[in-house]
Amino acid sequence: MAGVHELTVRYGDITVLKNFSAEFPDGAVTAVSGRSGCGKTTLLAVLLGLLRPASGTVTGFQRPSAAFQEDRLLPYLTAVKNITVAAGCTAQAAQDALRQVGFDSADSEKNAAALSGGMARRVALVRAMLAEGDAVILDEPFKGLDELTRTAVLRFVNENRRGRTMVVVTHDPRDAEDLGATHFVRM
Amino acid sequence: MTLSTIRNKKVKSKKQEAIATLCAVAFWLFVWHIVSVAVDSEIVLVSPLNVLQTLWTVLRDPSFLATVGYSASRILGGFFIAMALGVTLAWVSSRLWVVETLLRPITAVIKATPVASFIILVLLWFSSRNLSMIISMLMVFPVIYTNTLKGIQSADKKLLEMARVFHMSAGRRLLYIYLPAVLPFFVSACSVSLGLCWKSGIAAEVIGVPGGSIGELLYNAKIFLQTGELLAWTVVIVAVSVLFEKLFMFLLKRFVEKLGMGGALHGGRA
Repeated sequence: MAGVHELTVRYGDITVLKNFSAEFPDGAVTAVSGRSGCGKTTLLAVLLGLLRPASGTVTGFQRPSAAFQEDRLLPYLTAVKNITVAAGCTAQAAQDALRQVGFDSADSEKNAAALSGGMARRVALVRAMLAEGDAVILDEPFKGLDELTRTAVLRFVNENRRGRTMVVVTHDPRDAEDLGATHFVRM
Repeated sequence: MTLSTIRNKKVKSKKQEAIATLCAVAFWLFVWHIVSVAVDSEIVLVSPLNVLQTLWTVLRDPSFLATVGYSASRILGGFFIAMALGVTLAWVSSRLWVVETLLRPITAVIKATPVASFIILVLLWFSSRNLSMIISMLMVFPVIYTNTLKGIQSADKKLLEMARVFHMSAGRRLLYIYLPAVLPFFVSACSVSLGLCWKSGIAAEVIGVPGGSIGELLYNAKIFLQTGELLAWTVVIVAVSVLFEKLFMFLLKRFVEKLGMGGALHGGRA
């Protein structure tokens, strides 16, 4: 069972998380929710190994991949190249995946800087899902997607979970339900 | 107004700007000519026509290429050494704060010290043959170093975190995250440095007077009051400096485009 135990995280004098514990069952989807500023993104940073807690332990999450709240795409690379460079998959696999989330071949070859917000979000999600690893962490995955696109992306995410542990931060209970969340962490 | 009309207007205005610049140059050449006629002294103010005649003589001189080659090899040698050193030390400084702290006063001192002081010091320590190389290297190093370091430090932290999460190799981080961040700083540093290395290198040659250099000829022109020679060689220096800058920038852009990172030079839309 992956999880965090008695986690305390501070930014200077400000304590963001104090003695926080949560469990993320292996192979299951856990939805994390809470009001703005409660430390959800901080928790994800700890799970991803980007932030060292002041105290407490993290178990599991040996090699997680992620779709961050911001898309964090390499602006001078094409959508396909953004996926292959980070996820380590073939260009063909990236193109197939992008097609499944509504990209045509011309869009796939556009530089990330030229993509719309919704397109960039989809590239970030495809990158997270195609990367190898033991867990996937998604921070507000469907933010900015229209209903039709959301359906295609949801299908893609569910088809490519490959039994990995998934942590999803979301304000929308529908996201948790559609992704098949079985565990909930309220912060 | 359609997009093509706006584009045509832009092209037209650029053309107009070029014509206006040419007219301005012609105007000042004309003023120069009139003043030189009024002064009527080839020593105090030589006429532009006389400079052109002297330039033609200089260009036909059998030793012209050897003289330019002597100065260019040393000045540009200094530039390339400074570039390699500046980029390497900027990278080391970005990793080790001790190195950055140690280099900070050195770069500040080099920037603030008059080039003449360095020239005299270097003449005391080394022979005048490599003086222009050492001086151009000294002048260029802080510009390349500080700009490259700024570029490295401006690399997007969020992209670096993404690279860490996805276990991107050091080579890929360098190529896809650091290179685009450094490029704008590096390109502008090179543009400034290429002019700077010629100015400081020739100044060093005029003071050190190494045999067979452009500086030696400028020095002789001063001693023998050959204003025409002085200005003709100045035109040569400016032309070689501008030509090399254009060539270097062209090759740099081609190299970056070959790496597939042309977008970093063209605002993200390659």
